[in-house]
Amino acid sequence: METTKLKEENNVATNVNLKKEKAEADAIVQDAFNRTHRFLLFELEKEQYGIDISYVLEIIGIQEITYLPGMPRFVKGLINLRGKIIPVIDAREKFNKQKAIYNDRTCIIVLELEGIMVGLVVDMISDVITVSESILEEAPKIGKIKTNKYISNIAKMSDGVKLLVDCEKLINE
Amino acid sequence: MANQEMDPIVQAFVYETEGMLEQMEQILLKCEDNDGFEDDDINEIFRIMHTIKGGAGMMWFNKLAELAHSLEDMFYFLREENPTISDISLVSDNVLAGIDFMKTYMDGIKANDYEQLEADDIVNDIHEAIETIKGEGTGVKKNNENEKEIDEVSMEGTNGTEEPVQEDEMEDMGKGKNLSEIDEIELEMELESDYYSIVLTYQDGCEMEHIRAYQVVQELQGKAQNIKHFPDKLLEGDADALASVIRRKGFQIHMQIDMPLEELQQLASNLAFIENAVVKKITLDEVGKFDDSDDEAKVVVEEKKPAKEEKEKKTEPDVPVLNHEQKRINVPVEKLDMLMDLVGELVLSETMVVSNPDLKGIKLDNFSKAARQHRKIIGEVQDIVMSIRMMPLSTTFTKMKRIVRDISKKLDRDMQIELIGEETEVDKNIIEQIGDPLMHLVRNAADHGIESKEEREKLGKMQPPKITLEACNSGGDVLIKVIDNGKGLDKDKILEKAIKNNLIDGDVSELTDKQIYNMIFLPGFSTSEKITEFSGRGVGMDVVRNNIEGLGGTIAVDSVKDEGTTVTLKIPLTLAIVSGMIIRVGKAKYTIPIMSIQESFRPSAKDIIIDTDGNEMVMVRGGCYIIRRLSKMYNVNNAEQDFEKGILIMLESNDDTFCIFADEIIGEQQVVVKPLPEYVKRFNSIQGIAGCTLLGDGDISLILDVANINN
Repeated sequence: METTKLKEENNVATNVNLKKEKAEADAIVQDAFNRTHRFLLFELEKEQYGIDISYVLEIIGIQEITYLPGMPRFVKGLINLRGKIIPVIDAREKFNKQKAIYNDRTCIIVLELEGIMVGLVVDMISDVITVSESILEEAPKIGKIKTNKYISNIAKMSDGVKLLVDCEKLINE
Repeated sequence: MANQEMDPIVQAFVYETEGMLEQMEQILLKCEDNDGFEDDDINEIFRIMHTIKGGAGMMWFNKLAELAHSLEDMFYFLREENPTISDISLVSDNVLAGIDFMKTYMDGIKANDYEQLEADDIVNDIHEAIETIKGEGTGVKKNNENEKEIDEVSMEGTNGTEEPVQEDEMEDMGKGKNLSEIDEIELEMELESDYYSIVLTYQDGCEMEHIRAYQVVQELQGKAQNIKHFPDKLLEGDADALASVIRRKGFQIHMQIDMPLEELQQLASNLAFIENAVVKKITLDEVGKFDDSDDEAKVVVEEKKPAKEEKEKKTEPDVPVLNHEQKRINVPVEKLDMLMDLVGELVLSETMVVSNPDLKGIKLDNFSKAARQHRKIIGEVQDIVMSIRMMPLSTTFTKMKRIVRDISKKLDRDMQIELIGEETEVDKNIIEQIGDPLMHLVRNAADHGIESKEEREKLGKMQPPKITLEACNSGGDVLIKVIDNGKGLDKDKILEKAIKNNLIDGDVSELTDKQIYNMIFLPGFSTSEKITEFSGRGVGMDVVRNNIEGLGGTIAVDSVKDEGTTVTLKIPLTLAIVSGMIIRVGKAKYTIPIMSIQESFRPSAKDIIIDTDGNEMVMVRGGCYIIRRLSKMYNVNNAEQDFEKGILIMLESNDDTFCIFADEIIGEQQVVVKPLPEYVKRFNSIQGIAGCTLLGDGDISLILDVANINN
């Protein structure tokens, strides 16, 4: 299981045409002492979100989705991933954003959590980043309510702020 | 779930024991039919009990071991004394009670909840039964004495005489070490914890010596220091070779322990299956010097033969059983499910390769030849995988034998049971789910169907009461019949009850006999006035029907007054593959199990009726059926709206007949049923969808659940 995950991580890396691959490999060694997390970055309406890469099985291009009646709005239907039937949820609709028309940059991130597999439709995949815990910040609160219950943390990077998705809540709520 | 936490050794033990108990029950019922025990049967039961006793003792399932031991005693007595048994039920009742307890115990082990199970009553009963057979009265006082006697007898009988072995052992010891030295040094060692050498010899035929030895070592850990033993690696390498070394040389342990020699000797001799335990004090220098003088390889080669011969002499029935076991492999069902899934994928990917759009229009003679061959092989693989999952109905049927026997005894009806076609095979999942409904039917037949002796005499029924279980293949289905030659169903009583409960909504006089009989499957219907121990506990025939229909099967009953009742179950061979009709609605494709399709037709506009609520209906041959538009139910876009351009499919389930409207029928296909993903099941709001499947082109098709679609 570990090895396949690693492989998939590698695939992801090549898929998104990662430039800093070597630099990052070095960074991993360096950060082995600090606690670091790797996140897969994707975009929704110009904002950048990150998802913990340990949940990511693979990334596939958008494909035919079989509509499943009687589901909440954000469940788009089922896809056939090499013989496995996987439900697909639309990240935009899950986060109450405006619907977008799928194009050739639209991707499905296949996530696995406790044996449950779910596809997440996102606008595009942009990068894989390594974030040390020191630059993570709690998601801001408005009053006493969190602004967005699916965001666990915020990472402040040099090129902007990344919203880190709480995968467990995303799937279980 | 508890299974997963179980020690693999315990798991294997439970699995094997359950199998053996099943086998034993069958033998016993057979003997009961023949009203006597064959020598082979006694030997076989004796062997089974001996094995279970051994295993249970090893795993510390003491109650189980105790019970198995008492049963072993009983069959030892039968074997040696060959007494004339006037009433076989004296033996069989007790043994069956024992088997039941052991089965409960197995369930207890699985649930990790067996400690509180007590077998004392049964053990006492068994001893009393032995006494009775012996004809020495049933005095409880005498019991204990005799028990011991039997114990001793059985020990000797199974294990050969003790003495020669002991001598051998002493010789062995002598060869390896200078025994004479030990006594001299003994005094010096007195003050500290002493070093001891223990040589354990196991009883012949106790099997798995190395595991037992390992357990001894485990027990000693913590109590003793510097434990060294020979053979030193008990859980590695060839188990047979290890066991044979221990058998020949004994299991040798050197250790330091703070305990007097006598006590240690006592402890060692009381271990399970110990033939002989030699405990000696040794010097520190001797620790770790074991008697391993023999070339191990030689031991294995030489020892195997005589050991086997000996065994063959002793327990002859062992041999064929062993051969039989070697040809089978136990595989977890999950692995088979996985294999099945993979084969399903293989079939799909084959279609994707062969009908790849890139190949369209190109003439490839060699390719299509190879592809044909490929397809043929895949088809064969698929057949084999399906056949692996198939199991004969015999285990389920045999259980019914036991039920009929018990009821027959209790109600004094002398019922016979006949099994026909129990070798018929069905999918494992179905076997698991068919047990309960079948048991219910058999109980009903035995309890309510068959009359009491007096009633039968009054009616002048000469043939003995009999229940027949019959299974046979019929196309893609299996037919199972439960036939009794009892009183038959009471038509008037059923009608009366049906009218009372408002279950009839037509003219009563129009109903055929068959229709009336089948009313017993309606909810809330039980014709029996009284509740008995065996049936009628509020679980009606409607539950049976629901179970069977849940399997995709049907149930029907027919009866002739005073001649008997026949219940016929029709069950698909497998749940995993369904032959389905694939229909298209808009872009979506749905699969309908062919079984529930009555017909399909294109209606003409004049047959369509719309009532005041906007419900659409169609007239077919004088009947009026409601139409459900799948496009409307499932919000499908771009679907055909005009009835005259699409097609109506008439479906039937639970006596409910209705039509659904689809754009077109694509064709019939065997589809592999896959459950809906866990994630979407949470929303729990999908109506009328039983699962999904992959079509040949890789598309997903939803399988309609006909029973729920019209609700």
